[in-house]
Amino acid sequence: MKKNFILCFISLILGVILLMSPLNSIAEIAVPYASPVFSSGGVSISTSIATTFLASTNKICDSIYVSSCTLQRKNSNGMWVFDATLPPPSYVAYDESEYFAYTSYASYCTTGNTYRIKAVFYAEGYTITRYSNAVDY
Amino acid sequence: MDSGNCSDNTKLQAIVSALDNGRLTPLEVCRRLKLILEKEYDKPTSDRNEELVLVCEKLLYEIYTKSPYVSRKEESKKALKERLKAVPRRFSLFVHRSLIAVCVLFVIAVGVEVLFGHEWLTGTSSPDEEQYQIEGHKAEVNTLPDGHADSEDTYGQLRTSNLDEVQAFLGYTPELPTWLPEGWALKDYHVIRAPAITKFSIRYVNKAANDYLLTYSFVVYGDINQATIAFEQERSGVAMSVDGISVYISDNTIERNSIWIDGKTCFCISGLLTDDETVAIIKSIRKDRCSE
Repeated sequence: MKKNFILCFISLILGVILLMSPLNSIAEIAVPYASPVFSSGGVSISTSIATTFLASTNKICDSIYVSSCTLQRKNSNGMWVFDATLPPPSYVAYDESEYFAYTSYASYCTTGNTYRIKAVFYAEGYTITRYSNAVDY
Repeated sequence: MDSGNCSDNTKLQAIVSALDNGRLTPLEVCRRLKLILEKEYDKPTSDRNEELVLVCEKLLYEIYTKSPYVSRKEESKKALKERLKAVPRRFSLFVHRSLIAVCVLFVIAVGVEVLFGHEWLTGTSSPDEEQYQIEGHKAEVNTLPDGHADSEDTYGQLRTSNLDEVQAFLGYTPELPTWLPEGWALKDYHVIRAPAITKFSIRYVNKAANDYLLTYSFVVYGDINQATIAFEQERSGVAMSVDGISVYISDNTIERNSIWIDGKTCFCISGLLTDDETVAIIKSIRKDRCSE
């Protein structure tokens, strides 16, 4: 009985040591970021909030599109805050490795503010998130 | 010393009275005056009796010229001052002109900067190393925002396998690789045209690559403020010098991204490539540019 208790205690200690071991950290580091589908992506806005969406994939995909789009505004503290949910571009690229769409969101903006757009691109079950350049409107 | 001066003055008075009384000839007076002067000139400047020298010189002058001595001290002093002034004035004029020239050059340089702006792209890994981000920068002196027409006529894209159509769409011949690793063949070209952005890309296919593409592309930013593109990567890559240009190489799962910047253009090659193959492709593009 006493022997079993000692064995259990040693096992518990070893378990805790393993959980805190560098092997666990290595496993965490080894998880690759990257994207198995997307190579690159970007969102650009002009001073009139005309928005250009670009994305590239490393394979020809059944479909590539922008799944969500958000307008962010810079507040008085210089922090980016949610301003509005924007309708994503209706364009869908079929059997493509390149995505390109453009649209204007000027009607969602009020003068005197600084804006940027957050967009999520979707292809083959994978997504990438991109933030546009900031623009004083 | 005082006694010396006193005797010289007495001598001088005797010479003058002898001259006035006609006891000494002017020649003899001159000889005696010269003796006094020589004696004074031999003395150190501090011991010299300047008054005596001046009186002797005056008398000699009057005997030789037979006219009264008129001092031109002030006139000479003035002339000397003018001459002395002329040298530094010329120098200060030179310095003044040089300063003006430097100021004019500075104003021109700032003017060029304001009118044409200094714009450039930079690439950096994101803090989490997940992406390699390309961003545009502009010299802050340019206060006027760039104007770009946002009309829909300026937007468009083209997918074709005909290079002539690409040239017609772009308005110029794009830089192309002239070397590819074995097995890769051209699939097609793609061109995107937006008011401030032009993107050109070529897709290559290889039967052995399991549907993975080899892509060469470049993005030209007409408005540097809109330059925001990010390339996916596992972690920060390495910079390599190829023909004098700095190429950033990073891995994204199994493909390799090679990115380099030239002015307001960002180039990229993505695909299943080794470092040597990447370098050879980049060199072939650069070589093609140099031979044009």
